Amino acid sequence: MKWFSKSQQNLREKQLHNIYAMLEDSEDYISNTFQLKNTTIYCSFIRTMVDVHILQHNILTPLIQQSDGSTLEELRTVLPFEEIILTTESHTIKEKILQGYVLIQTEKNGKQGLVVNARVNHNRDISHPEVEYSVLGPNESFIESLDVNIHLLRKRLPLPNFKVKETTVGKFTKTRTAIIYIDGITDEETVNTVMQRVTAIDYDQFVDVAVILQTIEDNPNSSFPQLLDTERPDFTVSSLLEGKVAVLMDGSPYAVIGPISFIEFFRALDDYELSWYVASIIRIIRMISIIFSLLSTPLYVAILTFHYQLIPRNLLATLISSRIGIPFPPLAEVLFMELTLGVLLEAGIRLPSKISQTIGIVGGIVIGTASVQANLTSNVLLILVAMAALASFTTPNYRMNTTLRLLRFPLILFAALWGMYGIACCAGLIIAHLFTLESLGRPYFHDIFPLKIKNLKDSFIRLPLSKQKLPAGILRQQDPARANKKSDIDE
Amino acid sequence: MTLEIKENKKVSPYLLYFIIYGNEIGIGIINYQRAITNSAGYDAWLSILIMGLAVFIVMWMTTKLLEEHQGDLITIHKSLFGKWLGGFLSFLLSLYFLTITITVLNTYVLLIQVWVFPTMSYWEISILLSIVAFAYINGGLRSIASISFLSLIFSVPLILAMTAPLSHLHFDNLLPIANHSVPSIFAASKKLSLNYEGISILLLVYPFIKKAGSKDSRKQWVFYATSMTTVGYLVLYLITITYFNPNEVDKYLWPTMTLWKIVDLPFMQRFEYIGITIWIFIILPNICLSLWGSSRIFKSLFSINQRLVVSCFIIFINLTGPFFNNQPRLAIWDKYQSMLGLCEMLVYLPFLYLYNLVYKKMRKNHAKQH
Repeated sequence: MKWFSKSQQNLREKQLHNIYAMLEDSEDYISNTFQLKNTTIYCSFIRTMVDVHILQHNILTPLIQQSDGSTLEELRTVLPFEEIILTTESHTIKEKILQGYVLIQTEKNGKQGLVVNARVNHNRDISHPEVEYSVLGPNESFIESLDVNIHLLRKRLPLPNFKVKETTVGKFTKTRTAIIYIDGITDEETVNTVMQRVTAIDYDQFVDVAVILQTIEDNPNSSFPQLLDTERPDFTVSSLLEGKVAVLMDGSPYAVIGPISFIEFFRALDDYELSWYVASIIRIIRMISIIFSLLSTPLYVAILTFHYQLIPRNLLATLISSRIGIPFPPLAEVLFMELTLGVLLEAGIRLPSKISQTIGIVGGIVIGTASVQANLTSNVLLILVAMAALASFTTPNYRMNTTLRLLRFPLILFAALWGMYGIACCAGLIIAHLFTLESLGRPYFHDIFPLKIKNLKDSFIRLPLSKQKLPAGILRQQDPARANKKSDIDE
Repeated sequence: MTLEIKENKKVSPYLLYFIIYGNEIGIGIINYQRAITNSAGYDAWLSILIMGLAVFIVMWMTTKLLEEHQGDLITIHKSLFGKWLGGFLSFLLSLYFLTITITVLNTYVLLIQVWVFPTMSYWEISILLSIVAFAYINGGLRSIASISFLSLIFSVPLILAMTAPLSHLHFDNLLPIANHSVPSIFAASKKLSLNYEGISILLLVYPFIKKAGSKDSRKQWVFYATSMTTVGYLVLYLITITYFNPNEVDKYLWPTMTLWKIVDLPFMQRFEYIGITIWIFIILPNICLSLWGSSRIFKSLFSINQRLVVSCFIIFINLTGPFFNNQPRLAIWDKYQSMLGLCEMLVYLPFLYLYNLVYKKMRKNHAKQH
């Protein structure tokens, strides 16, 4: 048997020796001897990764008090663990020790060892979502542990076809990543695309699932996100039931969901808590406020620079009186206010929480009101900029929100150069870009163009829940006809 | 000869409606009322109906031709006329599409210069519009079909603006009906060719449309589109002539824009600025489709990269543009271009259809004999 040939054995011994040498160099690697009834064992572990209670009560107590055995197989029968690995492979031993397992051996730095899971979990509690807060619904959010996150999903979806596929990404961080989907609802091709893209990632470190989002996106050069990220398990569950794939990563409290279409970025879970006509109106208000936030300041620049004839006579007097004495053209005024607002928002994120209240006052009252009174900006513009910023925050997704906020700047520039004609041209270019985007192979404007009115029942408005039934064959295991007949991913 | 297009580059069948509709409604709708009223007086609405019927028949013939050949313009030419003559005819049609683009683009630039920005140079307006058109052509036919779809949605405010004159209409302007001579009515319908000019693009677009189901129901969308454009032109013309005085229509070069001046919104004074700004999205399908069509013919004939051809065409159009930048020269160009369009639509397309019939019969007889 080739495995036990002399050269292989020597190589393995050398590898093991190197591993132990490297580990022993570190202060928190402990290697102790314990005397059992019939034998001596050597326990090796990394103290900072191991939960001492498990070590003391569940490993050492049974071994010391109850074990009669002298070989590792006999010792194994006393340990009350569901997963005990008896191995001779050096890389498994190294991997498991580094993950917080305890290595039990009968000879010091020997070839064979028993690895037992004694890992300590210092996770924060499941708490409120930071970004996607909901008024009426449940307020659980994902935390940084992959197992707890999958638990949060599974407890809401007790289905046998809930599938979890795990892989590791990152050469140095070796982070566990899970790809989750519901077999039978999700399109086979989508799952394969995601699996292939995630396993093909060649990146050194992974601190957050957002890096996965950017590496598996169809077009990483576009500022529009093509995959949705969410920190709410209930939102993830409803997306999974629509046939989407979720990617979760250990250490990251977000789930990345795809394929996604443009309209789905503007759906909030609150819409399902209210009655359907109230929810539809709120959705329409959201759409209008986003268009308003994109177009209000460019229109201000365009109209005041080129097309003053558009303003009704009565309003013209107000606008002119508000701009008396301001030394800048509308473009400079608008850029100054927009940049100030951007700086305020960015600084507000980075501030320690104790100073944030002060900055609220500074930003709002001092900079805003004082700059109007110093005749640096007009008060009409101040209202417009503040309202536009507020209106853009109605976007439920933070990523899309930042994109839309920044999209205002090219529009302002085009407006300053070519007036309303420039705004129309810039809007044309933006729309042209949006039409070329794809999310995991599915067009970005999926149900609007190509138009499938039946699938629009949950996008611009929200039709009653009685009209939003899930496909009937959801629990039927082998129902490939059902999965292939779904019209929405089969473009 | 059939032409196989990959399934993922095809568009859904109902989009054919938007492509044809978007390509027909373009520049013609702004100033057609003046031209036809000068010829046939207030009976010119009959000429709209006549022209609509003629175009309908031509479309029917074209769809029959396309269905039989299952190909596009280039393959039809090749199979009917042989490689060299067919290639030459395709080349001529490609130049024809280029002239459509020149007309549409220059008319729109002149419109902007007259109504919105009097001192803006030709280059600024034209180059910006060309860049936007290039961005859409770059995405292929799917992207152009999407902008056609959007152009209908964006034109809803303009259609709603037509409700403004409704309270001031004088329907007795229409009476007496048909007191003009028949030749003058036909002369007026000849002037409508600019309104319907884009229909030849159907010859290039047809293979790109998916067949929904086993029955080939693509052609119904073409007929819907043509009928809707005729209805649209008719309604707009009726509103125009019942609103304006009998002699007044001659005074306005662009009667549709003058109609927009009537709109009275509380928060906005001059609606025609909004109208012209939205008008970009209505002429974008025209420009994009014509440029796409002519560059596609070049690509098939000479195997050049299509993006390169489009860029060259855009540069060419922008260089020759300033020559047409004043109204009299543009009117002369329009006159000749619409004559060319008329010949192409009402003479050449039926000729292709009839030639195809004769050719088929000849081949059948030839095959029977041997």
